[in-house]
Amino acid sequence: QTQQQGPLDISAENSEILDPQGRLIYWGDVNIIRGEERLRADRVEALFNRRQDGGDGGLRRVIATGEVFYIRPGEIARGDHGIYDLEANTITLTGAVVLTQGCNVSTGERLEADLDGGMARLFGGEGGRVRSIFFTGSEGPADTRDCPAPDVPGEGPRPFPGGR
Amino acid sequence: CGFQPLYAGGGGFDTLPGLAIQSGEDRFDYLVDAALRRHLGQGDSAHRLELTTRVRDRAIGISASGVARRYSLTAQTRYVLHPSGDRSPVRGMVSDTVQFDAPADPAAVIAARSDAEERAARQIAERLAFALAADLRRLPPPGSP
Amino acid sequence: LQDEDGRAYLEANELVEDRARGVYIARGQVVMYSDGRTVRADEIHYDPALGRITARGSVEIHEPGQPGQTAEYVELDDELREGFARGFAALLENNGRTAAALALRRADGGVELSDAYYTACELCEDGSRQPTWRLRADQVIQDTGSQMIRYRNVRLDVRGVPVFYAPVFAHADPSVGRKSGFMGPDIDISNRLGFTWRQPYFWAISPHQDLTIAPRVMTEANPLLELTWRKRFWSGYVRAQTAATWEREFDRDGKFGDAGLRGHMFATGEFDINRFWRWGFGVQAVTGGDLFLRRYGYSEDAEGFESLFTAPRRDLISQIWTAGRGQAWYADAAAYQFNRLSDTFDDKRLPVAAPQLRGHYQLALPANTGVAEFSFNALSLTRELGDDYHRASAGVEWSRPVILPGGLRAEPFAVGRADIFDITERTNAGVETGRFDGSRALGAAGADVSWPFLRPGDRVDVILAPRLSAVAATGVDATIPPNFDSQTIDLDRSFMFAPVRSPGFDLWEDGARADIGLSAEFSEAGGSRGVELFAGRSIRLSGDERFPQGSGVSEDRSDWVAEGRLDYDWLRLGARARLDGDTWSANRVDANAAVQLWRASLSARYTDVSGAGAARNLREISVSTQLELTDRWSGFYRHLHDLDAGESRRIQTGFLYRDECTILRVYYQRENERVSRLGPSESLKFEIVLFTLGGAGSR
Repeated sequence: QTQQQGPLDISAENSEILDPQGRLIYWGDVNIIRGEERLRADRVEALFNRRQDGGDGGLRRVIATGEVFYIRPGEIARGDHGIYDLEANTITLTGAVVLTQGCNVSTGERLEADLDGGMARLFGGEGGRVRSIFFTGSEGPADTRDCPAPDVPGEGPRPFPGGR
Repeated sequence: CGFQPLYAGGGGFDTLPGLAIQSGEDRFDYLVDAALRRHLGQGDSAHRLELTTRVRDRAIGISASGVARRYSLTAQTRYVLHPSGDRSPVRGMVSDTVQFDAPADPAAVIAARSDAEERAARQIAERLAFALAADLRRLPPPGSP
Repeated sequence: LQDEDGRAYLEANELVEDRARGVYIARGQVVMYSDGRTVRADEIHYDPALGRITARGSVEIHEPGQPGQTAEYVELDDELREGFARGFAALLENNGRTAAALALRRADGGVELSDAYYTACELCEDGSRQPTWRLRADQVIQDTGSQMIRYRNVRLDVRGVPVFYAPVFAHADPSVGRKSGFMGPDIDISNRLGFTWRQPYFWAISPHQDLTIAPRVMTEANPLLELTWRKRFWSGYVRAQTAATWEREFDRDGKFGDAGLRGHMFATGEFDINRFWRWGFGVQAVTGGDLFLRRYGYSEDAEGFESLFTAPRRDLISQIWTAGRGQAWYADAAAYQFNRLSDTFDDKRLPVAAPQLRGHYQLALPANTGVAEFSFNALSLTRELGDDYHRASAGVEWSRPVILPGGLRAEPFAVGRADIFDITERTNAGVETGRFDGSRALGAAGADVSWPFLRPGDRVDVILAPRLSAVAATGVDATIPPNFDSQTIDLDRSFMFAPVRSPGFDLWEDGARADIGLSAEFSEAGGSRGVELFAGRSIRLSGDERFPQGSGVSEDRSDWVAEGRLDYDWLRLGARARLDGDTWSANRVDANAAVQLWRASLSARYTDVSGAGAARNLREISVSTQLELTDRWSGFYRHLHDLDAGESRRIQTGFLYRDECTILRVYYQRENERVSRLGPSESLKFEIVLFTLGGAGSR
């Protein structure tokens, strides 16, 4: 299971170190960028690995709530809250999930996506149904057409102070 | 011993004279329609009647050479009586058979059948009058649900 | 849910996207909707790149305006149009059913099935009951282009047993309306024609016009060609049938005479002129005097081609007429002529009626003074050999029923009529023997009084109705025309109480008469059960005897007329009789009975006209029974027996199988009518109809 490489950048209007064991809270238009992926939420609780020597290890797990958007090329998934597990490299969104891939749009109650294996499972929840619309036919693969992508709230990731 | 004159009111006949009749386009339909109107007499009845008549003609008395020596004419009239007031319609059926010997000449057979139709129509009209009266006797008075 | 081209909707309990293989997998009551078509299944795989859809698990394909198709596994394009399915079953319209191991849905919407079968019978999924019949084939193609269903290597299974094989077979797709094509053959075995095979071809010329071309080959006679044409117009229809063959005459001893063109022509049509009036025509013709119709099994009554007037048995009638009906009037005018189906009778002796006029008009008189009924009747008959008869009559009849105190119903009436005659009598050789032309004015008046009493019971109503009708008619001086249209008179209840007692216009009963009758009716309140009895008699008070012997009313004191009727749930009886006034012997009896018990039904009719003075003796009984053996099998036996001549006229016996998709009828028929040299005819007829495939066997 290859680990998603590349530096990880978190920006938010304000943040707070919750406790020395490595739990930080960010809130107010939080954006996490890693490579081509972006996770945006109103409030994020990030958990870091505790290194034996007491310093901060890598980000282990992100718990996001409020207008959670997971964006990567050709795909935008939205939910009320989400869990991004960097070690298993999976993301789980729940609550009014909308998955948009080019023009194909699917809605459900819960999305479990395995980010490197390429499997995404969308559930309708008990009694709920998964509904999706696909653009078929000869107009070619859906994503090349100019379908309006859903707009993501907030100004988007702010450059790291001092630039990268 | 419980007998009362049928036409002395309560027999169902008093509201029948003059009822509106709808019937088919054939001669026999007209004959039944006219005979019933004549039998019931004039009046301002608020009932409405729909008649559908079917006449079946059968050769009987087939001789060795296949000639029919007698004919039987069976008329069957289905009726729908829409009583006055908003009472629900009543359906029924009356039928009668009239027979006639077949004269030798074919044109005379047509004349004999024409007369048999008139006699059968009068019989059907009388049966209709009695059947309608019996239906009205059993119906609740108008206006009641 | 308006969708443009190229959009598919999917609904499921769970949707899995396999990015690696670029496939979506929907599971759990999956519904996919695309371009008007819907596919339901337990699981659907959608590969957007290839545009392929595979559905698995109780798959249903629904197309607008098409019956459903089910399968276990279906592969379709993403427009849900083209693809194939395994374990495929389709319910066609008019409930034809196909099921196949492998089905290929073609781009034109048709379906190609492999290792498939077709039936119109109910299917039991659990296979507990074999369908009565089904067509099994290696390949079945529903070709929507030619609107046919085609088979290759087809076997007909009856209850699972193969009974018929054909390399190739096709029939019209049942979901298509009128379609030209071969109909089932009619197969018949008879002592006159031997083995006959009639192969009709139905040509649907247009939605309202068709022609059936039916050649018939027979082992004992030359082939015959029959054409039946039908056309429907905006205001009416025309139907015609003609048949022709080149053959000698034949009877039970074989063929005789020389060969010639023989055939028949039946035609009928009726058209609306306006809201009140319509007109129509009827043609019934056959070549020469021979017995073509009887020899080749055509109906001598032109069944299916009737028109306003029907000819007596063994005669044909051709006619043209117009008729009108309004709320209170009716009128018709017609011209008709006859010819007799006999090779010995000279048709010149038969009349041509041109015209025959009949008119009735009922007028309600003002101030409730009764009803006046005007009638007009004219008949002009001409014969090449025999009498010419021209008569016109106009009459009016007034009546006004009134209920007197005590419930006595009196209906006074008065009749007035004027006749004009011009009759020329000639012998059959055409020699004039007499001429009668004259006119007369007739009148009659009387009253019909009845006093019915009712005893309403909670279960049975009883009605007793005595009735008296007294009529006095004007005397008829010397002008008594020869009697043409009133020769046969038979006294019964309807004749007795008629204001003018005569079946026609030539005979007028003058003098005074009284008719008495009593009827008793016991009817179940609100039900159909009941008993009805009637007895009556007619007494002539003055005037000389006008009615012939055997009419029952030739004496001053007529025969007694008795009628009885019983209606019970499973039994219906009816009897009428005329009993001699003195000897009480029956001059005339007509009885009928109908019994419906358990699974058997029997109906019988007896007629006896053998009393003294009857013009012709006639005793006949007809019996018809039907027995429901099972809910599908039933047997029937019909017998018409001439007791007078001591021989049967017609016997029909056989059995009938009927279920939701099949009719099988096999019956033997013997007609014993000796018409000139044609002896009795015996034939074995059988008929198979496989619903939606068409029928075979004799009509």
